[in-house]
This record gives sequence, C-alpha cells and structure tokens, in this order.
Amino acid sequence: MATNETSKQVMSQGVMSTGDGARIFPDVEACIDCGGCVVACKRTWDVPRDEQRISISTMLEGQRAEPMERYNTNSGGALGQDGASPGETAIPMQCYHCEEAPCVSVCPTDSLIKKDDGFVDVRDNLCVGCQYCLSACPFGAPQFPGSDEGAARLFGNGGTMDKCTMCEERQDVGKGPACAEECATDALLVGDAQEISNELDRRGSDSFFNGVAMEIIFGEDADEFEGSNA
Amino acid sequence: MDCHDSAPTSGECQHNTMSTEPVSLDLDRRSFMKASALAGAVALGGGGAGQALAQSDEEEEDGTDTDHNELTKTICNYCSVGCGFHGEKKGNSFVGMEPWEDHPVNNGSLCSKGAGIYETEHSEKRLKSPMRKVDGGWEKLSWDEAYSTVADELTRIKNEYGADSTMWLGSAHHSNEESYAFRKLTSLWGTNNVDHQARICHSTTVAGLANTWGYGAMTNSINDYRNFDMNLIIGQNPAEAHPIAMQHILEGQKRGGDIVVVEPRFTKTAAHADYFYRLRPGTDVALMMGVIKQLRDRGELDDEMLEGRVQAWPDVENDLDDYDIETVSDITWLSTDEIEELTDLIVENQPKMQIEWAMGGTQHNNGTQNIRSYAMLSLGAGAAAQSGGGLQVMRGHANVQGATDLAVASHILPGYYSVGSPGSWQWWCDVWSRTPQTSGTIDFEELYQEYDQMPAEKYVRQSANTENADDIDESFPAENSMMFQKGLTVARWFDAALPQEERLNETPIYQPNELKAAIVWGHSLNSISEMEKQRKAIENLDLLVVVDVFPSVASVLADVDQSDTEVVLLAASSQYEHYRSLTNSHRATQWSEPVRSPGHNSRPDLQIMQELAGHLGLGEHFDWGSGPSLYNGKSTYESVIREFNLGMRTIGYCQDPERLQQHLEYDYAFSTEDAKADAPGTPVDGEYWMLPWPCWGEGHPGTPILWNDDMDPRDGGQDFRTRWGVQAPTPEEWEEMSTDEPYPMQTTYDEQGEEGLSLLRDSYEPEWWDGTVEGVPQYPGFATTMPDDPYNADALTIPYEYALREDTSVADAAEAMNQTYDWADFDTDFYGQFDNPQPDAPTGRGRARGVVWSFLDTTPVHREPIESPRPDLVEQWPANGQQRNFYRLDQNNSTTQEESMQRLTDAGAFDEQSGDAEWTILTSGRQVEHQGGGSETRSNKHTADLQPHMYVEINPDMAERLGVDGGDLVVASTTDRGSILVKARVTHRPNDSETFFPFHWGGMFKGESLEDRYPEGTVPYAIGEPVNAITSRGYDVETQMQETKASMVRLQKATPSVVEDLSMRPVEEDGLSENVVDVESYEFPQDRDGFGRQKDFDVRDNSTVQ
Repeated sequence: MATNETSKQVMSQGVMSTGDGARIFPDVEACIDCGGCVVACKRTWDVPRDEQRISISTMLEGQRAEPMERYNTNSGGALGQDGASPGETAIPMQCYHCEEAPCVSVCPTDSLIKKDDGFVDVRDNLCVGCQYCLSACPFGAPQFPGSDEGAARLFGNGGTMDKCTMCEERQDVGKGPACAEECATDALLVGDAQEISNELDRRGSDSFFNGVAMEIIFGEDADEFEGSNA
Repeated sequence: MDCHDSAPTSGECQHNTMSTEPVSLDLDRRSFMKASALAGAVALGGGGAGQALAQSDEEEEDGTDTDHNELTKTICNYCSVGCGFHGEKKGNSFVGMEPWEDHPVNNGSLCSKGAGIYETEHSEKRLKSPMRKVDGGWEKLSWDEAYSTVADELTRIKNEYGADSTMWLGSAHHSNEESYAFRKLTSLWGTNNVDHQARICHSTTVAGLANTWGYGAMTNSINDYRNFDMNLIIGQNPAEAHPIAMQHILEGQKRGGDIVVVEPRFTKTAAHADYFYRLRPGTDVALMMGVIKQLRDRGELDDEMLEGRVQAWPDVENDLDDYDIETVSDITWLSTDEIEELTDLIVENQPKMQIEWAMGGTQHNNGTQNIRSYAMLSLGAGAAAQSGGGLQVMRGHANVQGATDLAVASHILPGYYSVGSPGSWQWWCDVWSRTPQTSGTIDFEELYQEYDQMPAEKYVRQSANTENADDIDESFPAENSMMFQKGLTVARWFDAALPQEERLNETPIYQPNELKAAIVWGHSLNSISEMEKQRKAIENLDLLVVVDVFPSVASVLADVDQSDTEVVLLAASSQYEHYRSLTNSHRATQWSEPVRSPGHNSRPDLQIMQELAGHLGLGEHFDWGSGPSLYNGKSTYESVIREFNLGMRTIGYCQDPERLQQHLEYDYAFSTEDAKADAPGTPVDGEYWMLPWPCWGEGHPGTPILWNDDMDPRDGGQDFRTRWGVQAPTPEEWEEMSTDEPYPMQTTYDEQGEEGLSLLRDSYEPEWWDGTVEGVPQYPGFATTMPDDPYNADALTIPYEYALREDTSVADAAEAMNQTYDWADFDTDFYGQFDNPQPDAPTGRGRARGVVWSFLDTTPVHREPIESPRPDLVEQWPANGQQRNFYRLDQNNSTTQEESMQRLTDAGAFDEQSGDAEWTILTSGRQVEHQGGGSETRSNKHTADLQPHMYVEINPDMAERLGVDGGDLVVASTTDRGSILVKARVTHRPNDSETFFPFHWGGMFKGESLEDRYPEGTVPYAIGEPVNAITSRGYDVETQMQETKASMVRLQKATPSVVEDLSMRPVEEDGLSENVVDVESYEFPQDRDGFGRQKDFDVRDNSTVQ
C-alpha cells in the first residue's frame, strides 16, 4: 500500500558536509553491495590489492527478514526484538574515526591518535605491527597489507597498519571521501553526528549498530540517534 | 500474412532549480561543488600538493589536487544506465577520475565497474597491437598487414562462396556511430549476416512490445523510478545489473512506493524489497495471466484504458480461464495465498505500477510471450503510458539500445526498416547517396547486384505454400534474393559452420554456402550458449577475426592451427579514447568526451571500420571527417550522427550533435527528478537530458515517456502508434491472407463487431488541449521523407511538422505531401477522413494490441522450458513446433524439448534424487563486479579481486546432501552438453530446487585451463568455467533468443573418480597434462596470485560474508 509523494526528495546526497568534525556512517538500508566504494577508494589512493580499507560485510545472505513487511526495509528495527530477524543486510565496514576509538586506547606506541579535527590517524613511523588495534576495533578497520612480506614475515607481526583516512586530504580541499561520493545509492553518510542522524530519520532507517557500538563511534552524540538501540 | 518484423525500440524527464545558496559547508552537493570552485582560496586549502602515490606509466594523482587538470565529461561503457564521470586529464594522460555530480542520472555515483574504469584503461592485459595466431603462439602484425590479411581473405571467401559465408558479430559496446558504420559496411558488402548482443538480451522485449504498441523500448526513464507506488521487479536484479538505477528505485520506495520482487533467488535486490515471491524460472506467463484473471474476476481491470486505447482485449480475456489460481500455483511455485497477495498489491497501488525486468523475463523459448504478458498486465491495470507506471525495460550493455536502433541485427536496417522489403533498401540507398557526410553514392539496383540468391531447392523448402521452384519470381527485385532474407543471428551462427548432422534438428542452412569466416567484433562468445559447438565451428572456419580491447574468449576458445584457420586479433581502443554518442536504456543519446587518445597501438573501432571498408573497396561510403582530426576528432563522429539523423525517420533519431554537446555544457540545469532542464534563458530550457528518442528534430525536447497522452507532443508527449493501419483484419480479409491459422480475433469480433477491429484510439479531451483530440493514423510519409536540405538533417519534414503543429491535420499533411513531391500520391479519400487539426506525434494515435496476429502465439501462452523439472507440465504446456527458415535455420522447440526430456528421464533426473549427485534447475545471471563475457572486468585487478571466482550457488540443504562445503570444487553435468568444474558457493539465495551460475566467466573450458592460448601477458587475472558451455537449446520462436535461464543440471562434488570419468585435464607448463585434474590441489591463477582472499564461499562459516 503506498502513496508516493512525488517531488519530495527524501534521500539526500551522501556527502552532506565535510571538514572539521565530519563523521562517516553507513545507512545499511541503502547499501546494495555494489563495490563502488571499495574500488573508488583503491583507485584514489592506490591501495595494495589485497587490502580493503572499506569492505562490505553481508549478514544473513539470501534470507528474508522476519517478519518480512516490517523489517526487510528497516533492518535496524529488528535488532533486539525477540524472534525478529533483519534479513539480508549489507554493512559497509571501514574506519568510522570513532569519538571513543578503542584502537587509540590500546595502541602501545601511541601511533594511533584522535586528532582535534576528529580524524583518527595512524602514524606509520611509530607502528610496530602488533595488531592490538585490530583486536580492539569492533569494526575490523585496521588492515595489515604488509603482513606477508619482509620483516613482518620474519617476525610474524603485521607490518605497518593501514586504514581508511576518511580521505582527509580530499576533505581539506572541500571534497568528500571518494567512497561516499561515488556510492551508488548514497549509503555512506558524511557530516556531523546531527546531520547523519537527521538524514537517517528522514529515510526512516534505524542505525544497525547496537548501543555500545554507537557510543564508541559517536561518544556523547550517540544520544542523537533515537530508537537506535543506543 | 504480413509479418511485422518486431523492431525493438523503446525510450523520459524533471525539474531542477539552480541553487543560489551562499557558500557554506551545509550545501547540497551540486552547489557545494560549484561553490568550492568559485570560492578559490577559501575552499582550496594548502593541503594536497598532488603526491603521486602510484608509479605507473602515467602519473596517477591522488584525489586531491585535481583542480588544475582538465575534467572530461565521459559516459561509462558498462551497463545501460549510462552513468557519467569526470576523467582527469593532465596533458594527454588519463590520471584519475572524479565524480560528475551534475549528471542528472547518476549524480556522481558509480558502481565497482565504473569506478574501475581508470584501472581498465591502464590494465597491462590490454591488447597492444594487432596479432596473428601462429604455431606455438602469437606474432605481432602491423595494421597494414592485418588489414591486407583480413581483406584479402574476406574477398576470396566472397568470390568463392559468397558474402553470406561470413558472419559479423557486432557489439552492444559500440557507440552509435560505430554501430551505424558496422551495419552500413555489411549492407554495402553484401550480407545480412550481422547481429549483436541484443539478440540474446532483449530481442524478445523488442518483439513483444513493438508488436503491442509500436516501439519495443523502455517506456519511462530511470529517473521516473522515483514516482512509482508499486515497482514489480520480475526476472531482474537491478542491485547487481544496474546499481545506480537503485538510487532512484530506493528514492521511490522512500517516498512511499512498494518494491515487489518476483524472482527465483533471494537476490541483493530482494534484500531491499517490501515483498518477495519466489518464482520457478520460465513461468512468468502463467503468473501474469493468472494475476490478470484475478483482476478480471474482481472487477479491477481499468476499463477506461482497455476500451479507449486497446484493441482485441476480449481475445486476451478468453484465455484467462486457463490460468486459474490452482493451476498457476502449481506451475509457478507461488502459493495461492501469495498470488492473491500479489493481486491485492496491484489493486491497492494501481495505476502507478511499474513493471521492470531483464534477462529473467527475456531469455526463454517463449520470451516474447513473457514480455507480452507484462504488457497485458500493465494495460489491464491501467498502468501503461504515464509517469510512475509504464514498463521499465532495463537493457544490459551500455549501447545495446543504440546498436539495436541502428540495426546491428540481421533482420533490419537502421531505424528498424525491415530487410524483407525492397522499399527499405531503396530508402537507405537514397540516404547513403544524398548525405553530404560521405562522398559515395549507390543505386538500389547497383547494391542489389552485390547480393546472391537463395538456391531454388532451399527456397521451396522453407514454406509450406511454395511447392514448385517455377513459382519463384526471380525478376528484379527477386523474392529469393539474399538481400531480403533475414540473416543468421548471434544465437545460432555456429550451426551454419557445422556439417548438417551436427546442427540442431539437422537443419539445412538457407543460404548458398556454409560459413567460412566470422568477425567477432566486441562480442563475447561465452555470452552465447552451445560453446562446444562454437568451438567446433571456429575450427571449420578459414578466417576468424577478433576485434576487442582485451583478448576475449573468441581468441582462445578453439585450439586451431594457422594452416586451417587464420586467426587475427585487432587491437581496438577503448570507448573512452574517442568522442562518441551512445543510447542508454531510457533512450537518451548521450554525447561523451575522451579521457585520452588511443593507447598502445590500438585504433578506435570506427577507424578500423573506415580503414577496412577502404581495403574492401568501399572507402567512399565511410569517409566521415577530414583533416588532422580524421578518425579521432569530434568532427568524424558528428558527421556520422548527421548522416543517420537523415535516415532514422521511424523512431525520430534526429538529435543534432551540437544540441547534445550543449546538454553537456549546461549539465547543471537538468534535474534529477525528471532529467528535464528548467532553465529559462539557456538554450536547453525545457529539454530532456540528451533528447531521448523519438526526438523529431530541431526544437523538439525529446520524449521522456513513451505513449504518454497527458502531454503535448511538442513538449514530449505521444500516443500508441497506429502502426498496423487503422483497422485490424476482418474475418473476410483474414481468409484472403496466406495463412492457415484460425482467425485470432473471433471473440472480439463476436462481441464488438467491426468496431472492435478499430486501431484508432477513442477521442479524448486532454488537459493540455482546449478541445478534442482524435485517433489518427501515422502521418503520411513520416518514415519515408527526408528533409529537403540534406545538410540540415534535423529540420522538420512536412509529415513531422504537420503532425506537431496544432493547426494542421493528417488530411492537410497528405495534401501538402502530394503538392510538394512528385513521388507522393497519398490517398486523399482515406487521409481526408482525419481532418481535425491537433498536435500529434508523427506516429499517430492508435491502440495497443491485445492480439498480435502475426505471432505464432497471438496471445500470451505459458510454455515449459526445453529442460523442465516437471515432465507432467511439459505434456500440458509444450513448447512451439516446427519453424522453417527462421533466420536461415529450421527450428523446432517441441522436438528439442521431447528429446531433451527423454534424455533427462533416461539419466534419472526425475527419479528420487539420492546419494551424492543431484539433478536440479540451472539458472544463470549476473554479478555486479563483472560485465558481459568478463574479458575486461576479469582483467581489472580491482573487480577481479572483489569477485575472484566462478561458482555455483547452492542452498545449504542441498550442500548438506551433496556433502559439499563452500569453496569445494563441484562438477555440473548435463545430459548432452558435457560438464564444467566450478567452486561451490553455499548460500540461501537459491532455494533447494535450483542453482545459480554467473555467466561472466571464461579462460577455462570443461575442466581444461586455456591459459596457454592467450597472447603473452594477457591471461586475465581471474578465469573460470563458462556456464554457457552447458545451458540448454531452447530458442524463442519470434526472435531466436537463447533460453539460458532454465536448464537442468546434475551436481556432485568433484572427486578424483568423478573427474576421471569426465576426463578433465588441466594445462601445465608444457601442454595438456597427462593426468586428470587433481581436485585436491587444483589452483586457479587468481588463487596463485592471491586475488580475492577476503572472499567467503559459505554462509554457514560466519555470521557475515564478504
């Protein structure tokens, strides 16, 4: 049953604002796992072939939501509901440059820092490849492309960690992250926490992460995300 | 019986206001981008000094310092959405890509394929120069040597065997200019054996829709997806096949529309649907007719549409009783509840119901009927011909629409003029002579001499009515001239290169001799079924020419000796290395700029055609362009457009290149809501992006939605074509036609008398007109009149002008024509009846047809697949029978079906399945990361890494029974097409009674790796088995479309003894191994090289998969 109110744009472009304090966050209702973000990122930064700074993880592939009408197009709504299932859901996983980044907390050499402008950076020259950050990150963002080569191979560690930079250099010149700009369906939202949560509201999409994860990503701003299992 | 060759055609816009917001960070993306460019120092900070992170032969730049590089406006050449991107040029080098946010269809977005274009352009696997196969490998050739070899051989073959002993497989990846040149080349050279991927893609759509209402193209636009209340996606997976279309589809959903997916698998699209119904492959007609019956029984059919604009609906209704809900449920897998629910959804949401489909609907032995049934549902629900409704035909490759319109097809000339009619040839000879864009002229009589005649004994065999060779009228123009015979198709070309006993149904071939040469130009042979036969066919050829950007499967499929078969590879430039225009799925003819000049020693396809034509003595007809920018410059391509603007009168392909270029310039003025420019003061105000055809010429804005009578034709409105005259045949007239079929409109005639045969729409009073608009025929001479000044190819002709003008009528047009042209002699008594001045499209105002009286099935009929899991249903709903000389071959689906079903029975396919092998349904389709035959995307390290393997999707229950884990090798066997070796992917997408195989794979064949056959350094990063080695042998009876969506296959785990039985041997360093595949340790090159290690093959292993 539908009444399409035409000429009333619901979904905005994914990149709403950039620069200081910008965050990146997925709308899983819009992600169709087309791989555009993965290739845009690799192309833009010439990322080693076997590293994924962004990757799509699909849950419950091939399965409908339960109940279908309620949750197939609102996967986030099914979380925490007894007997409910979100059905197949594609989740873009990358570094979200968390407010309370666990990777920063555990890094033994302080190679990982949360900067004032909000970006979480790894300083290559300090990284020893211990991979603690990978253990700590709930999202699997840290990548270790060098783990099969050279010294890393000898010592059995990860080599230098690499991850999504939220295209900091692009944002410096007023451009959006390559993944978000090229996303087929505007599923990657870039803006401050308020803009992101407003956009998700407009779209009727709940966040797909639970309360703990949202606190990690957004810190105090997690409260913006109402009804999001926070 | 007059056969209207279905021409596929098809082809919509919105408002945007330019943003006037101030510079700030909180802008919508377009104004933001422009602000950042305007704001200069403010937005462009000190960061990003253009560090080159990559060391390649061109300095790649990171995504920052792009502002002093040139940004081209280029159209992606993968799928038919036609996304735009900015190519970054530094000098003459292609150094990066940026989103083109002002493109109204994709708004800057790209999928993994489009985003990977930079990598494809720079791939080390590209063909770098012409090559020839020699013993032990390949040697480089100069272009001159290559042309001499090819031209000499072609000429020899033409002299010895006739021009029809060559087959020209063209490409849906060719631009419009190249498509046109290709068709012109074969036309002038002397054969209709020219065809392309549309045959195996949407040929059934074109036939089905064109014969229903006049054109066979997508009726609405991709942007119009924003407006549906219900989008019925049946037999399509847009999330993977047309990812950027999902941008608009999801927006439509967010606005309140429902997405309903009807599909054999739970696809990525189903994951976003509001409703999902699992459908057995090949049963669309049963479901559609069943639903229409439910609507009829509930009194929910749209009487206004049916009475006012449809003809012969009573005969459609007649058949509905065969499709009661229990029968339909039994056939389709949907429960009766689900069928009721689907009907409820339609009732709630009509009329704004869009129906969307692709190969799931088209690739069947009754594909044309599937499409006809979608059209019937759309008409019955009142959903046709409006925004938010209509038929969203999602075409596949980037320019399959353009290549179809420009007739790279064996039954038509550009603009869908039928080859069977001497008038079509006369017309195009006139165009080719009169156009100032090329210097050559040619008479129809002169061209006729180039064509052979069909030998008498073959000619009589084709028709039941011609008993005697003496009856053939061989005077000019002879009915048995090969000029008027439809040519071979890409679906079955190979049968004409095999000895008779090896051909399907042991058919004769209806041309003088067998094939001796094939030119595979931008076409993947692994997209075509019967690959084993194709392999053998190549071995029988004297010449194989492959023209491509990467060495496609054709280069390596057959292991031939230079002494038997000359194999020449010509290195084509990519489509991003020259200017071009191409037509996307919604009929917009987009102009595109190059990102660089041709790489390596490659040449653009158009240049190759021009030069080859020169070597074949036809150069004067292909001499577009001049001066230093000959071949690569803009003017060459513009020149071709202006030539075909002159001749493409049926579908209004009159978009002058300057207008298209202007659209690029004013891209920001076009709204993404409806692709319309609302920009007063600019030259593009009121126009639709890239002038979707029909665009009747100068001043016409393009037609955003076909058949839409809610709009003034001068603003892009239209009506159903009055294509078959103003009245359908009466029973008396039917008697006189040369057919033994019973009168197909008996019910209509009984209920409505002769009035029911009228093909003119009822009069109506539209909002945009002050008065009544009446039904009218097509304007006299609209398709056979050229503009008076051939230099001004988009000037309105008299029929066009008089149609569009509000103060002139059809009667006025007939008179004006008779007065102006000596050759015009239009019946003023007949046309005089239509004397109401009103604005019309030149194609008239007719009715959609419920009955297509020239089809074998005049109304939609369910027919089981050739290989069906239900022998009982095959008895009740068998495939069609004997056809003679159907595209130069006999065809008999019912015999093929009987034999196939018998073989399956003998093999135990219908017995209780037990043990470690199991018979099940095979269906095939797409993966988002790959395109077509995959030679490009599997040679692109990004897309190869994202999707590194061929596989078969198996439901976990079936995997359990077979003892198979994801990633294991399995053997997929058929009764008589052999077996292939593929990895298992265990997933819930298919149900327990079916399996799914992607079709983009090649480089292996039946267990054997073909790596050693590739020219050095060009083995794709990822190889795998082609599913089309084992798909079945059904062919649509109206278009010869291949049935690749439904076969039966036997799966089992690949153990040593299994592969021993099947003799699957891999290639090692010094040739074919002595031993069979060691399945324990079998390694694909992509595994050796560490591609796609992150990929998961079993949903049971983890909670998520990548």
